[in-house]
Amino acid sequence: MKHRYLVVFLLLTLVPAGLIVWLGWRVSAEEQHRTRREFIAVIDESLQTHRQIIEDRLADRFTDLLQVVETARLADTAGRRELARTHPWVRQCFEIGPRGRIVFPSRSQLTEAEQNFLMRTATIWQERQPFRLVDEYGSRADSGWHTWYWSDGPHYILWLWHPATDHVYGIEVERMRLVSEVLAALPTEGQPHVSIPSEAQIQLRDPSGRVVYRWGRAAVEADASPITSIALNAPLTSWTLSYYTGRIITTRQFSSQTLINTLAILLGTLALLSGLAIYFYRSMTTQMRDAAQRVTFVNQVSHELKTPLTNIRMYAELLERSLDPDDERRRKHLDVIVGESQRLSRLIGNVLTFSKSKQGKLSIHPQTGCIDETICRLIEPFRQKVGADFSIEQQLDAQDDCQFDSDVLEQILTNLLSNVEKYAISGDYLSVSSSLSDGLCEIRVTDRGPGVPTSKQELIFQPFERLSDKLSEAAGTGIGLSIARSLARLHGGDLSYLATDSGSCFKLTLRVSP
Amino acid sequence: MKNLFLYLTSLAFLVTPALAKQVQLEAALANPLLKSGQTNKTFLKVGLTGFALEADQERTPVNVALVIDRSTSMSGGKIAQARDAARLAVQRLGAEDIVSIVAYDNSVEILVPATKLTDKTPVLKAIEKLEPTGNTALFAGVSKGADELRKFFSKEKVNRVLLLSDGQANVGPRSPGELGELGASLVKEGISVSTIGLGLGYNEDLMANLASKSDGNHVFVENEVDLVAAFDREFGDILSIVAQEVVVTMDFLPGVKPLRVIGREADIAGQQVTTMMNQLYSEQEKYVVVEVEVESGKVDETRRVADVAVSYANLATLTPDRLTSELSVRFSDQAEVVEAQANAPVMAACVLLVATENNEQAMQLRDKGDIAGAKQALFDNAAYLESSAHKWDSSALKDYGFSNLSQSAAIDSPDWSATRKRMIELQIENNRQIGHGSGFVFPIDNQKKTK
Repeated sequence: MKHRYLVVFLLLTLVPAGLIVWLGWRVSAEEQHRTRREFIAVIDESLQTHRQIIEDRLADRFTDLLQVVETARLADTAGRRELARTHPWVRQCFEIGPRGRIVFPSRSQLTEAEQNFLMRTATIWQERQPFRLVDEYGSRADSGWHTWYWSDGPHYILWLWHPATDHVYGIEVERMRLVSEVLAALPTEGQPHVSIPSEAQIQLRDPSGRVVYRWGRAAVEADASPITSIALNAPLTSWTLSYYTGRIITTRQFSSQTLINTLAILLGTLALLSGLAIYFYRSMTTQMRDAAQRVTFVNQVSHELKTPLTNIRMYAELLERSLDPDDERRRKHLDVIVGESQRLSRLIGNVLTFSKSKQGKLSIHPQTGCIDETICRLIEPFRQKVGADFSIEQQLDAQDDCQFDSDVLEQILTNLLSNVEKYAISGDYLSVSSSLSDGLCEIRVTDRGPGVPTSKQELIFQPFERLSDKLSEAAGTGIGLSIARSLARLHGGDLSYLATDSGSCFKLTLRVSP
Repeated sequence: MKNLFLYLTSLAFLVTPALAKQVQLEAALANPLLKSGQTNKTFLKVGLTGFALEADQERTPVNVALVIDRSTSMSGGKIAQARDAARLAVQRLGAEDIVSIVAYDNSVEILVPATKLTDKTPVLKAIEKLEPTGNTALFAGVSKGADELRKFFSKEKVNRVLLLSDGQANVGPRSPGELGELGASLVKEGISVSTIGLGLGYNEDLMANLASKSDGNHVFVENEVDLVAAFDREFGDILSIVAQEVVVTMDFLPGVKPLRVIGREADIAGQQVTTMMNQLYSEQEKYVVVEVEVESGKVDETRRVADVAVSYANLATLTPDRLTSELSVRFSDQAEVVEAQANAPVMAACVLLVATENNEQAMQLRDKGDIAGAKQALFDNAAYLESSAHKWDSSALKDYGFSNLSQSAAIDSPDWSATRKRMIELQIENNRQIGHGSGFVFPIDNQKKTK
């Protein structure tokens, strides 16, 4: 019993606690995930803003540069050299003929700078069509960027296709100027309008992954991976802007915060649940103790009542015997005394049986006897009680001697008959049948009273359940049928209610041995 | 000798005020007389000397960005000296000048955005904030410094980035080539970068390349206590600039072939040689030396060798100026006469450049690990300089001879790093004629109003 309560107690506390932990964990994980997503979205926006800053800065330059290419197209050799010598963005001009033939710089008369240019760009001219003249939509582009690698990094060419001559004109951009321009566009430390959190850092990395520029005072490890990064636009497509955080906002930090929260919730819930469970457990055990005391008390009282009652009955019967046979009035009075005391002893018997059954002390003591005899013995007083108008049918077919507990049978039948007397007296009819076969005795008690509604047919076997609590209804303790069924089951049989057209029918079976 | 010459020319300008505000062009051949009947090689020198500025004259306003390394290696005395030097620089400038101060470590901070120096107090306050921290984002520092210059950029100002670093660039582009490309691009905008290398930890190739490709000065300051003096000299130079956007074009006539330009970048396209200088300093000569091959001529023949044209922006008159000169050569069959006719100052200048080239090659040998070869090469160079000094009566050659001799001795010593830095400083000094300026100190508030 105690053990079961402990299990219930543990279930009541641990299961909800576990559930809360799990839910809490899920919620916090989801929250963390969401926060991180939002965080990344904000960062992404910040990176895009900076990319836009770079792009805005370069857009005008690139427009100018296309103009420069156009100027270079129209210029002669000296003009093109002059351009490379004086324009801060132009390292070299060039012109390509229809089949990839280099028209300028002309191989016949090269300056040192031009020789170097041809050496740098040698890999480009090995290709049949050095510049991708088709854009991503498949149409022929008439200008674009070309990136190639030579020596220590990427170099950039801006080219322009001139449809009339089918020549490509271009300039090699001063790549360090380009990089320098990008850096110049980006924020420096302590610029309030572009400030990023002090624990963050944005890095600009070149195609080889080398940090070219950074801002933000966070201490970032060399091998740290960025929260998020984006690529720059053409021609710097292999360059990335990456957002890093220092040691302060890390996932570890996130989860330890969550862990503390979850633990706090868990502990709180556990404490609350334990408190509740202990409270209920205590009140339950108190109730149990009270009930047990009450049962013991009733038991003792019942025992105490039994002795005087037996004496009352005995002396009443003695008195009856010694009575003058003609003294009808006194005989009637004595009959009432005997009948009521029998009723009282039956009730006491029920109470004692009930408390025994609750204590698990009920047992049967089979003895050899005749079932029908027991039935008859009980029907006679019933017949006298109900009077001559009440018809009683008997179909008894269990005359053979067998082993059964006549006290038990008597108690069951008494309860059933008492019920007929109490609730079905209006039907003026009782039928009792018995049969015996294969060690199973079956007894049916049928009346023509109001019967039991279908929904309540099982309920009536529960202790203290009564169909109506109206004061006008017959008195009763509500334990009769419950006891009867318990006894029948103890006796290897059962007591059940059978539906009939009118009235009630109780079927009692008992396991008997020959 | 040269100083005397400069002095004399300046005197001449003073006597003739109409010419005083013009750069002096002096083009000459090392051998105006060549041996007939054979192909000759000789040198052509185009010298440009900035006119003198007088004390009561208004000077050109400057637009200068101080780019200062504040990486952790600058801790202690270095950063303190850097602050002193920066303060001195600000004190030397006036209300029409523009200054910006950029500090870099891992990242870049603009301590003073480009601003007119009408009030020096906030600038001097900002200098106090220079505290060492982090790495060396040199490329970004220079980029930001240059960008500050662009805010008030004017061809009528002197636009200069002054970079101070004591360490290796370790964030961003960091090779001498890359920084050289940056310098080459900046000079096309009219921005020169002067670099001051402090201590023994910096990358001298990088700093030198950045300076020489952008036509700026390069100084090696071994001990931080000399930093203030180095800044002072640099600002002396910056404040004495008289001409900018100098383009020297030499058109060689048939029968003369330009072989190479020594010590400077130049375009040789067929018969035309073009080279540029970002600025000329007052009373200071910058020159270009071209090695040429002259086809054989007949005795007493006079042949036109080259037409020299120089264009520049005159900062005194704020007008573009153009100077021209023609060069001819005569032929003689008498070797002694040819020898005697050699132009000693031109020869001395050419020998200095050739010896500098030798010095560079010796350093390359040392870099490859050939210590003995380098030692011998420097020793030979010293001997060459010594004999040339005597022949052309040049103290500069004598001095450089001594330098080479001591370098030869120091080449296998433990302080090779300092020697190498000194060698590079001298190479740039010789190639680009740095440090021969008048050293004229201008009164602080004597400057020209910008238009």
